[in-house]
Amino acid sequence: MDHWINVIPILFITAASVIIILLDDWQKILIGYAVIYLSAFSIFVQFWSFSFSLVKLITGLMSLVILGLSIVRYPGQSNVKTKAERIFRLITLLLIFTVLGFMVYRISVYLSIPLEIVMASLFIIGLGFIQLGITHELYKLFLAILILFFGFELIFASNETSLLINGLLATVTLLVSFMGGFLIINEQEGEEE
Amino acid sequence: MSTPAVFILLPFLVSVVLFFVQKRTRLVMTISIATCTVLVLFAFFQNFGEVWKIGPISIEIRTNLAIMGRAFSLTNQDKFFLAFLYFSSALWFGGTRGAKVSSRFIPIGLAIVSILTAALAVEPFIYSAILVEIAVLVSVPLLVEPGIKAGNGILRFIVYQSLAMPFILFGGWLLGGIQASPSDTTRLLQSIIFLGIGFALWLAIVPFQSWVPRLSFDLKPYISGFLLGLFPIVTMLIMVDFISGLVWLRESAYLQPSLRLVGAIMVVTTGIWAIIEKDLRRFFGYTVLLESGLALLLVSLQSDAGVSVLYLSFIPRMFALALMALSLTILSSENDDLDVESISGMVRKYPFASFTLVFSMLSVAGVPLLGGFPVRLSLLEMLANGGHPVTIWVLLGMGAYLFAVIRIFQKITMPASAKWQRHESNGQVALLLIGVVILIIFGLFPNLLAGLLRPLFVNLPILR
Repeated sequence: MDHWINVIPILFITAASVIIILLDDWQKILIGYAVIYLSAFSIFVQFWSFSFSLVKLITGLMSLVILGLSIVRYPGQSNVKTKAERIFRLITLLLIFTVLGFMVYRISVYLSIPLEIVMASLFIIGLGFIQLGITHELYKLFLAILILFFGFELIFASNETSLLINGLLATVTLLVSFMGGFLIINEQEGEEE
Repeated sequence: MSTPAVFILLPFLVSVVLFFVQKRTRLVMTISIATCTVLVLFAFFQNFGEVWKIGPISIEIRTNLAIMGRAFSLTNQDKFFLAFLYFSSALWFGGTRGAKVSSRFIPIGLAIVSILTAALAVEPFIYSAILVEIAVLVSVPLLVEPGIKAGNGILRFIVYQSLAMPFILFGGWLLGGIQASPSDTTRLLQSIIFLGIGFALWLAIVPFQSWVPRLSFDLKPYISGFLLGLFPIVTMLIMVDFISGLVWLRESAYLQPSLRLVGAIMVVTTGIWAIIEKDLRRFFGYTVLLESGLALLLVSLQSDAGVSVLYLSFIPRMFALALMALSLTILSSENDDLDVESISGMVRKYPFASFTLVFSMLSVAGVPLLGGFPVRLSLLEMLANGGHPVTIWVLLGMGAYLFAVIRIFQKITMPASAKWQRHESNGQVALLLIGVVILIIFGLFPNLLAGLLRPLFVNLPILR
């Protein structure tokens, strides 16, 4: 690692992932995602330009706000997890993070990207894939797509500096949250009627 | 003036305007069809990169448009794609009144078409992944009806298509690094794996095909027809362009067998699933998968003739899918349930829709005298001439699909207590009849279609 202090945001990302995967309350889950965005920002701002990093952060937080606004209008019944389910989820997450942890160094060398960025990115992608695989709730699915894209962008944007491409990626992030919000509201309005 | 401005920005702006006046359905339909027709004529008759003369006025038609450091390019090589895309859009938009779809179908549909055009125009090609993802996301409002929960198929469609974007971008990025050191075979293999997974997700290739029948089950047939008619063709053309652009990939010993194997698996498995499928909407999804499998086999031939037949096959494919979707929409107006049992004897109530449905399915199966026959015959001939044992498997798959169609025909024409009474409107009958006649003309005079399109077949992608 270039700066050992970056262990702290990576620990924050891990802790937020555990919260996201275990809790049922949508507000706490959204806060968990916000923590991931902020922690990742604190890492990549050291390597990228401030304005570029800020764009990624603001886009991510805006997309969370958009989804949050859709959920807050129609807070649905979330599925309460059993104890066994929580243990299963935790073990799955830890197993995947452990496997990714062993891969980080080689990928970092292979792609010539700082270790801390690769680690944050892989953990975020891992979380996204777990969420995509196990969630049944609409808002969690769109949050999973968002975080998966964010994790990928951390690696991709290290080499792609084109304004158009990064602008389009930001558009994709916002569109995902808009469409997620649209589907949530559409579903809840139907249930109300 | 540049071709990207004409074929991307203009229809996109029109779609934005139409979105705000979407309730005036007749006006929206007229404007959208007129826009598409003008663009088709422009693609057909204007040479890109030359001067366009209108009386005393001369306008230079450039083929490039630079936006924020990246280029969008539409050259004479893209003429077929442009003419086909906007022609088929006009076709789908023309059927909206007959199919009674949502008023936002045309504005959103036109926006999707313009974004997909941008996906094919952007350079380098890997950025098309972002534009296809934007098109997928823009299509979301079409997927759900107000107040109805999004089904599993819709969510799978969004997830699978979204997953394709990172895979293609990352694969393309790795590939970019190889240009500097072409001898790095490990990296080459990794980039191909990533790109292969990305294209498989886009094209619903085995094992990522499960979302297609689920999506067609969740959507109104006309909407699923539009989306499943458009996305696989555009992504297939992006893939063909990609293969054409890389000499080492074209010359790779693994490309042909892998494409052929995957194509054959898709044709055979789809045929078998079609036999056991009981719902006509899911059956429609399997039809799309069968078409994708056959298209992959045409790409696997890696010959000029194969590419020409691939491009030609898109036209009867689009007509057959449009007719199938329209017929299913009409049949579902009687009963939302499109189960094989529930359509029993439907021919007495909806004779035109029933026969058109069977006609379009037979065309996909490659029955003689219908539009799909010449392209299926050419494919089988080319496969057989190459001495490929896969020909037998393809025949088996197509035979299984034909068997499934005959089963539907038998059910739909089953004697029922109801009297013969037509329930289709005159407009619907006219649309169905025009479509069937065109399919028969394509089948009877295959050289007519090829001759008409010959001017557009300049500089087709080379796969050899």
